[in-house]
Formats: sequence, structure tokens, C-alpha cells
Amino acid sequence: MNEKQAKLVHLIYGITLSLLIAVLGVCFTIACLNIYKSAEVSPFTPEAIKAQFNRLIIPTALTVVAIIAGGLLHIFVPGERKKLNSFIEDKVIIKNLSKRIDLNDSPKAFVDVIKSQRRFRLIFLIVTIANALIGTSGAFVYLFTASNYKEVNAEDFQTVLIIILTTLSYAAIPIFVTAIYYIFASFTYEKELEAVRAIVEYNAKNKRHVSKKEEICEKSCFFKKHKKPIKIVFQCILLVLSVTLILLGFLNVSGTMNEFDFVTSIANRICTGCIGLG
Amino acid sequence: MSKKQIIIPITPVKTDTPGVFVHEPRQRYSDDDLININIKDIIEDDELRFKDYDDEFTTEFKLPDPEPYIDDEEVSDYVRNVAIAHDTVVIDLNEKPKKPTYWQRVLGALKGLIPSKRRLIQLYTALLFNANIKGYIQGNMYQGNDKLICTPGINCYSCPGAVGACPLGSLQNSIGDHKYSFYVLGIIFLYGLMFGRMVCGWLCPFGLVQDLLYKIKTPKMPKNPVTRALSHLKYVILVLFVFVFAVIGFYPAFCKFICPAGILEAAFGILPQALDELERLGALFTWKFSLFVCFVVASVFIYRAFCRFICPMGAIYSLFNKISFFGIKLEKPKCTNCGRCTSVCKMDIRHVGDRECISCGDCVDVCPTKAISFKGSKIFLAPNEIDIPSDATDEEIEAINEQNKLAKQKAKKRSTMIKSIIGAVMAIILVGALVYYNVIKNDQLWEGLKAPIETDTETEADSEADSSTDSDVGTDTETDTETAKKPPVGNKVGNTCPSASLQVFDENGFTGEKLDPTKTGKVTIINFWYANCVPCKAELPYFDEVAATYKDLVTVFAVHSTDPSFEQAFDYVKETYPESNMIFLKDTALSSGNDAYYMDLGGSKYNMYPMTVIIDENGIITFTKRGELDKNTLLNAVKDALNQN
Repeated sequence: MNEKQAKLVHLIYGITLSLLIAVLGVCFTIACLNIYKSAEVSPFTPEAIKAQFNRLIIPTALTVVAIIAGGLLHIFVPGERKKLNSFIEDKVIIKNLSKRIDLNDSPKAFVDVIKSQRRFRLIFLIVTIANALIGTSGAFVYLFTASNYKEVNAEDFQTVLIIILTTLSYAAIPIFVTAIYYIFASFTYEKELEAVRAIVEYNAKNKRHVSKKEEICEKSCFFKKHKKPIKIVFQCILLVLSVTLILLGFLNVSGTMNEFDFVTSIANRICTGCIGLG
Repeated sequence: MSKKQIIIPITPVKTDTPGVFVHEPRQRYSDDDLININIKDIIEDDELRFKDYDDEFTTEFKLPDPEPYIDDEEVSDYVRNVAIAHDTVVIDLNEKPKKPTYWQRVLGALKGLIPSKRRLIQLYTALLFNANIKGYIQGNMYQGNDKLICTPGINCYSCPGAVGACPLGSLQNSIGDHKYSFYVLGIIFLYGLMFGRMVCGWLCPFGLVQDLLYKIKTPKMPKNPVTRALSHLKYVILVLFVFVFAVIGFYPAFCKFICPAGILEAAFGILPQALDELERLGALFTWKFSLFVCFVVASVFIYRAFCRFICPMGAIYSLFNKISFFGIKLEKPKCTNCGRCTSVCKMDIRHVGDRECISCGDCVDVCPTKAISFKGSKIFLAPNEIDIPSDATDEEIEAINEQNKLAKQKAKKRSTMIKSIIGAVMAIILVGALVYYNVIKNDQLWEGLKAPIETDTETEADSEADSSTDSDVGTDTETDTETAKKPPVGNKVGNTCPSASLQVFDENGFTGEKLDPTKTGKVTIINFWYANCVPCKAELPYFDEVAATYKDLVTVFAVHSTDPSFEQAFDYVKETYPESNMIFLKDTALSSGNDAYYMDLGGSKYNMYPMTVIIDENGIITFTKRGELDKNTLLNAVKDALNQN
């Protein structure tokens, strides 16, 4: 079998298996929903489960066999080695290339493009942060308003789900705006990168070797010079903090129980809601 | 026109520190590297093509205007700078690499089946955290004081095999109950500081499940800016579901509404052995099962979908990634920004070691300058070879070579010894845990399940003898003929309810009385609860209401477990039910850790609370329910019991 044929076989197999898995997942979900709808009280009986899930035994077995067959296929008809796709974000490339350009000494046309893109990004970032604050404030105000919980039973799954969804819908506004920011920012980075590359090529063409001067800033220099010791100090502080917190938990006694006993008691009982038994 | 390709090798410069090389990016491309290049030979249609060793990176661009360049040196300089501008690194020299033969590829595929070191450690930790294997076989859960130790990764404590507590569940419960949690936060900080997100890549059992699912050979969704943006969602989930909802009283919100580990490890482990518990399943199980199926299907196509987008533990550990003791590190002087590490990585990293990095080590092998390594791996490195001076004699050359060889052997010995010691310690721990939980603890469990211990508990015979001397509520006498007509004693609807003599307590403590709930002469509700049980406390108001509404017709007993949370029960009753018509009783303990009367009335061997039993005035069971009760169901059951009489 030549390479093209092998590639085709792998493609067909991959698509078939993907469809099988996706359809099987949907069938399992539908089966569970059907059981839930079949009766108002205690719908999940062994008989109901058998009736719904027995139908899925053969498709499941087929999928498992297909998965095993796929493993064998890849052994005896190896696919082509996947090429690495260069995945360096424009932002990272700009940061690296910025060391080779001096905006104060570069063609004005390119510099204007770079500065304008940075300005747009800054304005949109401010707008995004403002939206995020408004949206999340709305979510928190809703969450912490006592009147929203007047007749809520914490164990009423559907009611709590409504509260969660309402909270998330307030939070969805800043998430949506933030997503737009990312898309917008990626366009600006693209344009900025074009301009930066043009400046690098301009420097190369004109035999200008530019290296970015080290910024003189006492604060940053201090942290850069002492990065490792600062990191070690921070690690030691965190280590002491974590051990202290654990000891505090031991000493934090309520009645005759400390936090250790509390965690033990939680762990020694089944949380029925946690495992979906509800 | 034949094409030639340019090689620009990268030569690391050694230092005195073993394993550390310094690499000066400015000298990355030297003029000597570009000699003897015939530019006309490599330019085709005004395009220069750069390709690396494996044809994996291609950067193509057009020369803007080749005419101004007079000689090769000028063009070389231009090419060099443009190469820097386009982040091109390593280029093939005049020959393409040989493609592996068919059998080499088959052998490579077979080698891929051998589990890697990381996979072995993942399997090891999954087995260690779920060492109570007998729990799956016998259908019970391990209960012991050592379960206070939180595992680093997500491992549901309700799993029959679990021998430790889940840090996320413990955190939510602690915050919800106390509004703070020093111990759980401390232990999470400790794990984060030690390992960072290496926990996700090496120690988390659910991470292992996702890795195995991803191995299924389907087309995969590559990472992209959308997945990078989505990786921030886990921080939102951490703040909302773990902290905020716990503070306002909905806890454990993440465990209850999102976490798939509970369904996989616990529900699927418990339900086959406890078909009675199926009656508890309803809307919540349907939601969680559907979500679980989504995560499983997503993990086949998207690498670690749960870890990247949802897991709050990953969100917490990501904050420690840069300062953790163990993990991946990048030596910046050696890094040439070729981007291979980010390309080969399946997580949404921007650079190696950032918050999304799970230290899986895939990038270590692809780095062309060996700039990436694991922290602490220097201990396994050999020192740099001693350079042979150009004017050395043969004897000197031999001596230097011998020295280099000895140094390498010494390093190899040291490395082997350290790895052997670590391996031995790990094996001893695992074997010890398996023996301890499955053999040593097993005997005690069997003895406890046979009968309640007489020193701590009262048997039914004792309670019947006591009941004849009890005053007030709970006294009654029956004739032999009436006893003979009664249905058999059992815990099903229609059976005669078993008796017990349980201690009464109220907000001030134990009253000194003992009562038998079956001897009230009225319709009796027996609800089993405990102070740390959120669903139990949520339904107690309904029982309180029933006790107040039907106080002449119905007696309500709230029987508290012998769980250590009993210490909190007095305060809870004092704060919440100071003048309630409910009567609070304390159950008696079995040596297995279960509660005697709870088990007598059909309680789950997994200690699943709450449970409610309703008996009529003749002591016949008319209603039983495992799990939470809603108000309407309770009222209907009470009315049924009253109407029957």
C-alpha cells in the first residue's frame, strides 16, 4: 500500500470512528433521558435501565472493536508522521522582534501603524474591563441578594440550576465582550507584526544593526538581578504558610472536632449529590 | 535549476557548570556559516525557501528586489537578517533526511504501545489513591481516620476504592460549613508549591482517563486561539462554583453539578453492588450522566478537555506553576524561540512552564538546543566533557578521553542508584497500601458486619427489656395474640418495624431518657440525618412542620448518626430547632462504622443519608425512602399513613 492509499484508509477510518463515538454518546444520553421521563417517581429501575441500555450493547461492542482495529491498523499501516504546525502567537513574535527595532529611529509609516494598533488595543481593553466589571457586578449582586433565595430549597436541583444559569447569563456579557476583544486584538497584532517585520527588513536592507537599549529602571533591574533569591524567599514563605495553615486546621477546634475530624467525617460519608445519586 | 538549501547550525557554548550551556543568540548565525552559497542557485522565481530538517517548518517569502545586491556577501547578510525576522532556525543541508522504512515504522508503532514513565506513574498513583480494591468487590466504602489526607488530584472520596479525601470536595464543604478552611487550603498550597500543575500531568487519576481516551485514533481538534481563550473558563468556575456558591450555601456546587469524577469513580462503582440505590436517581443523575458522556466524547477529540477548560484544581495549581519545586524549566540563554515546544505541546501554553503547562515532558525531546528539562534533573547529568587542546600529545588525549569516560560512568551509576531507590520506595508504599487496606482492614470489616458489638450498643432484647420500664412516650404492651398476628419484622413496606432503644438529646445535651420509636402508639416518622449532611439539613424543616401540624397524630423522630459530626448536633439543634416538636435521638454504633438502627431499617452499607421511614400506629412500615424527600411526597406519605388508620 503506498502512502496515498494509507492516508486515505486512515482518513476513512478516522471519520467512521468519530461518527461512531459521537452517535454512541448521543444514544447514551437519549437513553438516560428516556428512563428519566418514563416515570415521575423513581424512574430508574433495573428493568427500565435494561430496556433502554440493552439496545446499545451491540453499537458499543462495535465501537470497541473499531477502536481496537484502529490500533492494529496504525501498527501495520502506519500513518504519516504529523508535521508540527508553527504555533507561535503574533504577540510573542512581536515581543522577540521588538529587540531588533528602535521605534524612535524607524520609518514613520511603519511606526504610525504600530502605534495606532497599540492605541486601538488599549482603548478596547479599557472598554472590555469596564464591561467585565459591570457584568460580574450584576452577577454578584444577584447572587448575594437574599430575596432571591426566599423559597429556594438547596436540594431542589432544578431551582438551583436556574439560579446558576441566571448568574452565568450575567457573567456571559463580559465573557462575550472579552471574546470579541481577543478576536479584535488578534487582528491588531497581525497588522502590528507586519509593520515590525517591515522595519526589521528595512534595517537589514540598510545594514542597520539595532539592539534595544536596556531600560534603566531601578525597580525592574532589582527584580531582574535578584530573580532567583526572590523566588527562593517566596517559596519559603509559601512553604511556611502552608504548614502553618495545616497546623491551624488541627488547632481550630469547634466543640471537640477540629478541621481534621471534619474532613474525615465528610470523607467517610457518601455525598450522594456529588456522585449524582439524586 | 537545482535547489540548494542553507544550513545554519546552532552551536551551544559550554560553561563550567555541568549540563549548562550558554548560547548567544547574536552569534546564532555566523558569517562562516553562509560561505559558498550560490544565491542564484537557490532563488527560484524570486522566492527563497527555508526548510528545516524534517520538512516541518517552512517559511517562504519573496525577496523584495534582488537587483540592488551586488555580491553574495550582501545577500547573505540580508538573508541572515530576514531569517531572524521570520524566526527561521535550522535548515537542511543539501539532502533530505531518509524516511523510515515500513518495518521501522511498524517497530516504532509497537514501541509506542509500551507505557512511558509518565503513564506508569499515572497508573501507580491511580492505584495508590484507590487502594481499597475490596470496596469494589464487596460493595462498601473505606472509612478510617487516615481518609483525612487529601489526594493531590481529583479523586472522589465517595469512590468505593478511595483511601483519601478529594481536595475539591473537602474545600467546598469546609468553606460552606465553616466559611473557612485552614487545613484543606494548607494542603492544597503544599501540593501546589511542590508540584504545580505537574499534579495534572502525572498524579491525577482523571487526567489519566482523559489521556487514555485521547489515544483513540480519531481526527483531533488542534489547539487554537479559541481554546486558549476557553482555558480561562476554569478560573470563572473556580471562583463561582467552589468559593461563591459555597459561601452562599449551595455546596458542594461543583461536585454536585459538574464534576464527572464522582459519576465515573463512585456512582458506577457503587450502583452495580447496590441496586436498591437506583430509587434515588432522578434529574440530578440524568444531568450528571449527560455531562459525563459529553466529557468522555470531548476527551476523545480534544486533548484533556476537562483539565484545560473546566477543572478548578488545575486553575488553583496553575497559580503555582512558576514557583513549584518540581516541573518543567526552560533555560532562556539556550532558547532560540524556534517554537517547536509550543507546537508539539497539546495544552494551550504560550511558552514552556506557563500556567497551562502540565509538565508532561513532550517538549523536552523536540527542543533542538536541549533548553528544556525537568527541575532537579541536573542530578542525573554527567559533567561536561573536557575539551582536548589542539596541541595535546597522544598520551594527553588518551588521559582526557579516559577522564571523560570515567565521569560519564560515574554519572550513570549515580543516576541508576537514585532511580532504583525511588522505585523501591514507591513499590513498598504501593504494596503496603494494598495489603493494609485489602487484607488488614478487611478482617475488621467482616467482623463488624456480622453483629453489632455488645459493649457499645444495645441489642433488641435489651431495648425491649428497657422499654417496659420507660415512662411517658414509648410505652406500650402487646398481648401474645396481637404479636402473633403482626407481619414479620423487617425493613420493607408492610413489615413490622424493628425496635431499638435510643438516647434522647436536645439543645442542652442528652436528657438521660431512652426511647423506642416503634412504641409511640401514633403514626411515627423516623428520619436519619447527621449534622454535616447538607441534604439532611435541607429537608429537616419539612419534618419540623409536620411535627408541629400533626402533633397529636404524628410523632417525628430525627435520629442522628454516630458520625463525629454529632458534636455539632447540639449547637445545630439549639440554633435551628430550639422548641421543635421533633424528638432528637442518637443512633448506636457498629464496629464497622455503620449505624445500627439505620442498618436495621434498611440503610445503605455506604452510609448514604438521609433516609426516612414512616410507620403506622401498629408499628407497620408504610413508607421508606432513601435520599432527600420533598415536602409534597412527605405530606402525602403522612396522609396515607394516617388514612390507613
